[in-house]
Amino acid sequence: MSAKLGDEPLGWVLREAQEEAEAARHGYFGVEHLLAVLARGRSRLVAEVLADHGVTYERARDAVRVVVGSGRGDGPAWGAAVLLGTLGIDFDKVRRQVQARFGPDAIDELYASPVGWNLRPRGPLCGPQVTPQFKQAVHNAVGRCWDRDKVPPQLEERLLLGALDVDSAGLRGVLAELDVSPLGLRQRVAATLRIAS
Amino acid sequence: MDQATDLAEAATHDDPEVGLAAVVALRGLLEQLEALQVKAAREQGWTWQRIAQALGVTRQSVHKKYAAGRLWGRRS
Repeated sequence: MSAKLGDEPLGWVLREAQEEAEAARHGYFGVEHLLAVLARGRSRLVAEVLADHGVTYERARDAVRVVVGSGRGDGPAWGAAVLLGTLGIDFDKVRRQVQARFGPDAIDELYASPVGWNLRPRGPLCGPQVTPQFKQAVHNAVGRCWDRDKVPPQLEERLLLGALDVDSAGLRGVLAELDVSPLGLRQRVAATLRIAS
Repeated sequence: MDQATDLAEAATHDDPEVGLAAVVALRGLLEQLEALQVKAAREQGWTWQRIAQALGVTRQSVHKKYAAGRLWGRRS
């Protein structure tokens, strides 16, 4: 079975990272957004490690917005809503009309239907796209099978470590904005994983 | 004023990077809207010929783009 974005049990990571990007109107979601998600405190250990480095959710979110908004992220700074807005198009209104006319799951159903089989599932109505760095971070954390039933223990710690191990200019920028040493943070997360395992 | 509004205002200047990205977004949106309408038309029993006429393209081009199973030579 092939892995797919949004599959459980990793679905929450993807959904929350995508929501983080959508809230900021970014054109993609990447490991920068993953850092903000992990800083929300779902894992007490990760939240403590980040807090020890002065990283709270609010600070991480703001740093991500500064870095991505200034074009230093791993993908396009502006999402469809902003870009279409420059043309006078209210994308949120278009999306609402599409949902009202075709149903809330119309886009997912389109690409799963015979009419959409030959199409690539991308475009403004699909939401921000994931970066290769994010995929690599998840790969680092759980291996290639994102959709397997069991994920390793300490998933959040592994995701943070996986994110710190990818080559991401965006994440480096965010950590610099937060005045956090990537190496120091990585060592601390790795130590936390060793202690707990 | 929120960040999106700030960005939208900043993007109204004559920056080709922004303008081209907006065109790409518009093209992507049009493609998705077209696909949704084609799916709806097929569900209502429209033929490929009728869809092609409505879109102002040839039957072959719309069939090639949307007809599932074309790789296996299926006809519909």
